Amino acid sequence: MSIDDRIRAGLTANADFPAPPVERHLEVVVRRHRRRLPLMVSVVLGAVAVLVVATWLAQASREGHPQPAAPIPPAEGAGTTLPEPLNGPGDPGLLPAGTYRYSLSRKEIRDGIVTWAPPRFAVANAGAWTWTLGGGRWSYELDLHAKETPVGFAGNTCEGYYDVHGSEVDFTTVTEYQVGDCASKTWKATWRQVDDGLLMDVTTDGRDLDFLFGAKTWERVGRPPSTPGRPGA
Amino acid sequence: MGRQDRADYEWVFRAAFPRVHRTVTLVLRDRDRAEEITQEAFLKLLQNWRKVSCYEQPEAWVRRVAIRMAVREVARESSRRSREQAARRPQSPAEPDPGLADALAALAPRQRAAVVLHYYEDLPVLEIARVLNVSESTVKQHLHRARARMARLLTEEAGDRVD
Repeated sequence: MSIDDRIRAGLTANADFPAPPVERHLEVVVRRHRRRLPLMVSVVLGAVAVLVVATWLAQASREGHPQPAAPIPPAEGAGTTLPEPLNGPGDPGLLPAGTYRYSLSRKEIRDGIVTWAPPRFAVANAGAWTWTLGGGRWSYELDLHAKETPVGFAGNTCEGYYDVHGSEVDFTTVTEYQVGDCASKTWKATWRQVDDGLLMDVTTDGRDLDFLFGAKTWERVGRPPSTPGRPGA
Repeated sequence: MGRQDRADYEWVFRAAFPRVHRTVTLVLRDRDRAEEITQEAFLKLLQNWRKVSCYEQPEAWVRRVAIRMAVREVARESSRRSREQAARRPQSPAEPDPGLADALAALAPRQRAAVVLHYYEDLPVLEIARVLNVSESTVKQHLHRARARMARLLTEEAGDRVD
């Protein structure tokens, strides 16, 4: 064994061995960490709360009556019932099989979902998305703009099944990552053919997938291979 | 700090804490002190969250802070007693490769960090230079000397075992 391999193996063994069951220990650390923060966090939160209440009161008194509460965004999946997971390729229907591509920049993602998504969400999703649909199977590959996927997010490829009924499509994701999800487990969308590709509109899922999936026209870049991905194979 | 910011921070904390803690433990050879330092680094991350959360890799920022703190800690320890004494201190029962840990502990603080970042974190020389705030050539020098010293110590250790 070379000295480099010896050092590498020794460090890996020593680093991994003393770790207690990570999740359980991490809970202890998180609790301890939180205990050190409450003063700072509560001061900041208190200041924000006072500012919000003061602004609201000032505005309400100016206009002589309380303002209606801001509309609460619908909960995820509130629009339509989530479809049951597909166990295999569904009916491809009239949805044109093929390979489609669109790009999303960090700015577009930030502008589209900045109000709720963590900043790294844009880093983890900005890039060129290539979707392949055909025979009831789908897959995508994300060519990320960032050098690497931020920690805590899933990888850049994903596969699953779809089932078309009319203008509606039910999607199921098969790919699983240890950390994060590459797509929702199931979701439903409507599709519409346009001159140069497809337009998708998610009707069930949260705003993240709705934006990533439906913000842009899917530009058709080619016909699908004969077997567009084999989820679960 | 808004709810989303807190959730975002907690995300990074959960995802990056174990890895940073392991790296710092390797540098310090003291699990408890490494945990304290890692927590200090994450506290700094929280205090600077507004700025750092916009970076592409907030975890790289917190790792850099933690490693620099660890290097300073090792330097302080080294000034209290010689590195040879440190290397001979009782082995932690949790170390499956105490020979390697002893050899690492015999190195100068920055050499230790460079070795851990290069061999364990697999970072390129440029990134190690950024973490340690030194030039690339200095990192290469650290790695070269550390490698030679560790090779010698590990060979002696192997010889001792044979004897």
